[in-house]
Amino acid sequence: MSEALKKRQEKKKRKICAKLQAYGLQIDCNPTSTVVIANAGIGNMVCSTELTHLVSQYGDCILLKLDGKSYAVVQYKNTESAKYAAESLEGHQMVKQTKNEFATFYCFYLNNIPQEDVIFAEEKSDLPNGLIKIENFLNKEEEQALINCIQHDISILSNDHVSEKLKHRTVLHYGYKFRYGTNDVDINNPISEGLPNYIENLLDRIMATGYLPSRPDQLTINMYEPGDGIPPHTDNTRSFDGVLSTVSLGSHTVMNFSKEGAERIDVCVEPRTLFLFTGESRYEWRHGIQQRKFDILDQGKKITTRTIRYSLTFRTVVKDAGKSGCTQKEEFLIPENESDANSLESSHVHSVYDKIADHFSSTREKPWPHVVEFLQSLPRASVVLDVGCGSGRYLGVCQQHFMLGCDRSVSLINICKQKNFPSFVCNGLKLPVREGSFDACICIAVIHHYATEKRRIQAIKELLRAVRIGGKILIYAWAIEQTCNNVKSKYLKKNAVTSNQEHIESDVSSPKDGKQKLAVHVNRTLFVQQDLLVPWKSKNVNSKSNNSCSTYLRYYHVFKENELQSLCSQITECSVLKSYHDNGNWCVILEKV
Amino acid sequence: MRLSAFVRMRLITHNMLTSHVKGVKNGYPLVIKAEDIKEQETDFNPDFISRMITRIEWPALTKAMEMIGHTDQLPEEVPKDYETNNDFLKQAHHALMEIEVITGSLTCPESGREFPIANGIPNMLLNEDEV
Repeated sequence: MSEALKKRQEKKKRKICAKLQAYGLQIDCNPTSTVVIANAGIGNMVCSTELTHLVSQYGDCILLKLDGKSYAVVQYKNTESAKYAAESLEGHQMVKQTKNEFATFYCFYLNNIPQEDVIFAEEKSDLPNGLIKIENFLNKEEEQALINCIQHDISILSNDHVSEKLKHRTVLHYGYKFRYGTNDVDINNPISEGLPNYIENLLDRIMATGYLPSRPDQLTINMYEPGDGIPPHTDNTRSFDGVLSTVSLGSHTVMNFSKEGAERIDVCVEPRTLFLFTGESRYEWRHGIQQRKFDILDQGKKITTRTIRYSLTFRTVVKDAGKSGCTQKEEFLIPENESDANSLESSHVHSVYDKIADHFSSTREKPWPHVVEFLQSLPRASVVLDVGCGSGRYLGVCQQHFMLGCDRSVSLINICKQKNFPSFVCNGLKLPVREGSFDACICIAVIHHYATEKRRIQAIKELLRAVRIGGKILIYAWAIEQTCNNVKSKYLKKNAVTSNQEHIESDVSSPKDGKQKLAVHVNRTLFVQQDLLVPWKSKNVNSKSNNSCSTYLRYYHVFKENELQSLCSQITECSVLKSYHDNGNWCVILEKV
Repeated sequence: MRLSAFVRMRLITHNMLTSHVKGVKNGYPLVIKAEDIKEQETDFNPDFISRMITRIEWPALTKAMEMIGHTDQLPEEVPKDYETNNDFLKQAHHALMEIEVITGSLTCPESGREFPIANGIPNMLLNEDEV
């Protein structure tokens, strides 16, 4: 091989390695027993049977199936076989299934088998938002035992009031009878037998997932014969609680999810899988099953004939109609106490960052110059803590210091670790660091996520506790004023169309029951109030379908001029050295005295 | 080809961390239980290390080394000539920067609360009732 070609290939391999790492895979430079083969995924149109055959030539192994991805993961029995495989398969070319093309393999080692959540999170992106899929929730024996019980029930309960042969499927109801005319149940008329005993274990296990707010008291069992289906529907949100769970037995099937303005998502339903319909998948998406005798799986590569399928749908009946378990559009109020603030931050800050981490990280690569300036102004070899370091934007900009990062989001800290930055997970309201152990702290674009003033002050106090006397602190928070000396911030400039201020004004909430509502902000426009929810449109970098764009709302408290300064002045031992506006942010430099 | 190596929890990070469980008076140093440790050479910068010596708790570092089974590698006290004592600075560099805990836990010495270390990342999140 020529030098130039070799160089080109090495460059290409480095690029692929970075991509795999971005997917959350932990590449090890030393051989391990787990090999990841880039370009060998089903997403590369590589035939999985051929691949299985190929990889098993080098030793006992399991091909960890990663549908639709651009890589495959192979777990070998030992490192020797893995090494043999990786070395042999490096550069291997396999004919793609549909086109007259080759897929060229690049092999890497993983330093652990991909954690469930890594694969899980990736698969989640192919599912409607909020839909949680847990495969192999039951084993085959448990499945068969349940099917036997159900078949028994069908035989004795047929023609009973709880069993119905609908046009395209047979149903059994327990707990309450489902009324198909109104799609609800009569809460005053429960079925005396309640739920059958044989599902109690299964129900215990579903409860143990922690997703269900309360134990379901209504069960519908559907039996689908080949050719049966169910029209697209959203389960009644008035009569049933916020989360639905459904377990599938027997045949596989394909469930179609549809939503206005979104591309249809087809979800393969393998037997023994548990689905939890939460959030958007529960309220906004319709789900249905087409009447067919077969399904086309694996992107057109596999045709599978349907057999008899049983689905068990568990619902919780809302007893108090006035206090419905879920509402179509939630209303958010500005929190007034700690517990409300805590749950708002948890749902609209922490969990959002965990979901958008990859996309967020890709948009937060360029450090802000004045933050770098601050870091460079510190004495050489300072010990600096970056509180709310995100994906580590500032952890690598000043090599002369020891920079340690922390963030509330596990996903973001995982990205820091991939970039080789020391970091840990914690909440900024309570820093697990010894008092005075740092020479300086930075806290960039963090304290605007705390939902009460008390918490914002607490966060600043913690920064002060972390630094030594004489130590410096730099804080940035988003400003309600997005123009300074008539210069628009970058945030506003990015707005291509002139904002329609009138339209936004009309969105401003009026106090309701004396409580102020959170406004949903229109991106790239002026802020209309201080406490708001800012939409984050997440593009899924891994998926090719256009439909993989979802919106998350993040809570912000945007700061007014002098507000940040005045918070700091309430804290003893804190002296404000400088206060300034930087591109739509209010900033302070503090010294611990 | 050199792929990036992963930084796990180094002992310098351990030196900064403390237990922050509600009601705990002395949560320092955290007790290390290491299931998986990795040693990895990093560039030695004597100026940087001698500066770090002034910023860390030396007894906690010697204790940390003992807790992971590296006994008798560090002097009990920082020598007076530490700034120019290259041998010492190298030892300190190794202890602070090159030993990484990949899997294990950090335990609060007072309350016994355990904080897991997974993939080299200490998770110091508290439950609501511990704040």
